[in-house]
Parts: sequence; structure tokens; C-alpha cells
Amino acid sequence: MSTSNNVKRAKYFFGMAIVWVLYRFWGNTLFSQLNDPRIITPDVDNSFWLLQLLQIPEFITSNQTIATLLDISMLFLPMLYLLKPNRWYAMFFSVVLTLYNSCFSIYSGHHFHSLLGIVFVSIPFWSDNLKRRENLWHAVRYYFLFSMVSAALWKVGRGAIFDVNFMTETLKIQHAQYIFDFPESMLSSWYKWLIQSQAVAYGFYIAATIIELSFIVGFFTKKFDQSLLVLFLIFAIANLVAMGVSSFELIFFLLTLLF
Amino acid sequence: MQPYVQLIHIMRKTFLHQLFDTDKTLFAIVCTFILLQVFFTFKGVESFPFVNWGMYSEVKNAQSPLVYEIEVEGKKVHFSNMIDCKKSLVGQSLSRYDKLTSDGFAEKEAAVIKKRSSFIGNESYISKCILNDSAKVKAYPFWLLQYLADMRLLQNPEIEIKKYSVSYDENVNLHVMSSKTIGGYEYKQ
Repeated sequence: MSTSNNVKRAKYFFGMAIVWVLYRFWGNTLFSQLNDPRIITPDVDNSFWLLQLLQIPEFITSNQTIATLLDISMLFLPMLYLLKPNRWYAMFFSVVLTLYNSCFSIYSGHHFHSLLGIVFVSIPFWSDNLKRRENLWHAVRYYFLFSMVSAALWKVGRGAIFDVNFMTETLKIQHAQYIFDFPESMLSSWYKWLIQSQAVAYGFYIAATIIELSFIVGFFTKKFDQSLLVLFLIFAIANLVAMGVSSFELIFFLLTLLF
Repeated sequence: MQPYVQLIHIMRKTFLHQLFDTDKTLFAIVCTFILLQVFFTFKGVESFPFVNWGMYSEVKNAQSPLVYEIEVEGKKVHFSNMIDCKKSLVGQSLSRYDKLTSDGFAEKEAAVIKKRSSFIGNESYISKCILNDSAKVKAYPFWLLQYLADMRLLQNPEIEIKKYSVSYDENVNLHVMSSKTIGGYEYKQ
């Protein structure tokens, strides 16, 4: 691996991480902004259970000083790494990100898969050994490919892809709150049209599944990585337009296709 | 070339084989990760960082979706229009609050605690850490009020949360089937 490539990876990853922290700050969802939530949902996740048994999430969110320090470290660790690369900054950053991902998931009652992108892509920077870092980078790339292909296989395995009405029913649930809140808006009109146009909605679903499945090619060759990157961007835009779901936080994984 | 020779040739080109040749420690870590991912996938349980990427593949009934209405100081707060991460936090926690209060604070995790505590013991401590405290759940509307108000001072700190069961007509317009106030908070001097 060339040193310039390594520098580029770090520059893009930690630069994007700073933007991500600012986005979370703007969204009022950083540790110190969670305001000591009342409801927990560790589900049956063993890792979340361990954190709950050690009472770590409650310790963080009920202690404003600790929560603020963790927020500050999430912003400054990427800056420090950009100024002076040091694997300890990267390791500490991954730990804080993991805690953040766990706390946010436990308090909102949902496993946020999109946050895995920033956590996983931070791992290669743990190593000073260039060969190991290169291997870790490729391992994360394979994980990204797996996540996309796996998403397609779940749709096939559960039979959703063979149900022409599936996307229409999903859209009805997905957009009920928005249509209820803003029945006359242009976006509601678009969502309503999409729900009424069963063939278009099903077409979106089939296209999304095909795009996800196409990532299988990445397991055999890196020749099409640029094309996969473009396909992912199309997938993310379609996801936003049809489902109102932002895949922006998964973009960290794209770095493994780019460099 | 014999088929098995071809297979060996292909295997030598794989990432795992190259990893085995160059970094045996990392090879062991990656293999362990793969095995655990396969285990949790087949078990159907998510255990961070081993997650299942099966979103939008489960068939759900859209006959009567549930929607919520939040009023802070008599003004409607539309969380469906909030920035993505904030919308998730408010929307998901709200539906969890609704589920907990409608089910009389019963949680599916209770059965899992019984099963797992037979291995690790101390069922009462595990229950205390994993299950929700009903008094804290009842204080959720107050938390939501503070969270939505963010640093702003409210003249009359009050919140009302309503749940609506809705249905679509053939023109995809929503009609309210039933409504219920599921929580609220009002500051009393």
C-alpha cells in the first residue's frame, strides 16, 4: 500500500467523521443532548445487556460532565488524528463511537445499522503496521459487500421480493405519520402517488434488491468497485426519495471502495 | 488442469488465504468474526456488532397503522419533519412508550432473563438492569417535553401525546379510526 493512499484514507475518514459529529450535534442527539432518557430497550442483544449490567449507559447520560467530555472527544479525536496520526486516537475514537452507537440504540429502541459504517471503518487505523492496516481495510470492504448482499438475501429468503404488494404495504406504514402530519404537502402527494402505483413501488423494491445483490461481484474482483460506488449512491438516493430513509451514515463504507 | 488443482489455485487467491499467509493473528480474528456472524444470523438474534441486515424484508400488516400527535403548550410538534437522527429518537421511543403502557409494562425480555439467568445467576439484578422501571416510563412525557423544548424556556410547560389508529381509503387519504391520549405532563405550582 502506498503511504499517500494511507494518508488519503485517514484524511477522508476523519474529515467525514467531524462532519458526522456536527450533524449529530445539529440533530440534538449527542450524549449530552439525550437529556437522561427514561426508557431503555436493550432488546436481547448480549452486548447491550453487558453495558446495561455494568450500568454504563445510565452512568454516561445521567452525568452531564461525562456526557459532555465524550461529545468533545468525539469531535476532537478525529481532529487530533488529522494533525498528528496516532493509533491511540483512533482506538479511543472507536471505543467512544461504540458507546455512542450502543447508548443511542438502547435509548431509541432500535438497532441502528447505519452507525456500523463509522465504527467499522475506524478500526483499520488502530494499527501502525501498514500491512495489517491494509488487510483490515480490505476486511471492512468485504464486510460492506456482505451487508449489501445479505440485505438482498433476506428479502429473497423471507419471500418479500415475490410479493408484488409488499412495497405498497411497507410504504403505507412508512409514510403514515408524514401523511397524517402534512396531508396537503407536495411530498405527501408524491408518497400517495407511489402507494397508488403498485407497479412503480414494486419496481423500486426489485431494483433495490438487484443493486444490493450486485455487490456480490466485489467478492471476486475489485475492478468494478467504482461502479459499485455509483450503484450505492443511486440506491441511497432512491431510498431517500421512496422511503424517506437517509443512508448518509453508511457512506463511510464507500471509502473502502474508493481507496 | 484437474478440477481440484483449479480449486486450490482459486483458493490461494482468496483474501482469507492471503491473510493466513501474511498475518495469522488477524486471520484468526477475521475467522472468529465470520463464525460469530453466522451463529447470530442463524440464531436470529442481533448482538452488536453482529447484526442482521434484514430491514424491509418482513411482511407487516398495514391495515391500521398507528400515528402519534404531540402537543407542546397547545402547539403541534411534527416529529416526522425533524432531522433523521432526531426523528428516529423521538418516533422510536414514543412507539416504545406506547407499547409498554398498553401492555401493562410487560416486556418480552423477561422470558429471556429467566433463561439467561440460569447461566449467569442473580435474576433480580439482571431484571433491574434490563427491564424498564414503570415509574421511569411514566415520566417519559416529561422527558419528551424537556427534550423537545431543548434549551428554550416554556411559559406553560405542558405536553399531551395522542395516538391515532388510521386507515387509508382508495385515494390514499388517511382516516382516523380511533384516538386515545396516551400520556401528558402539566406543570402545577
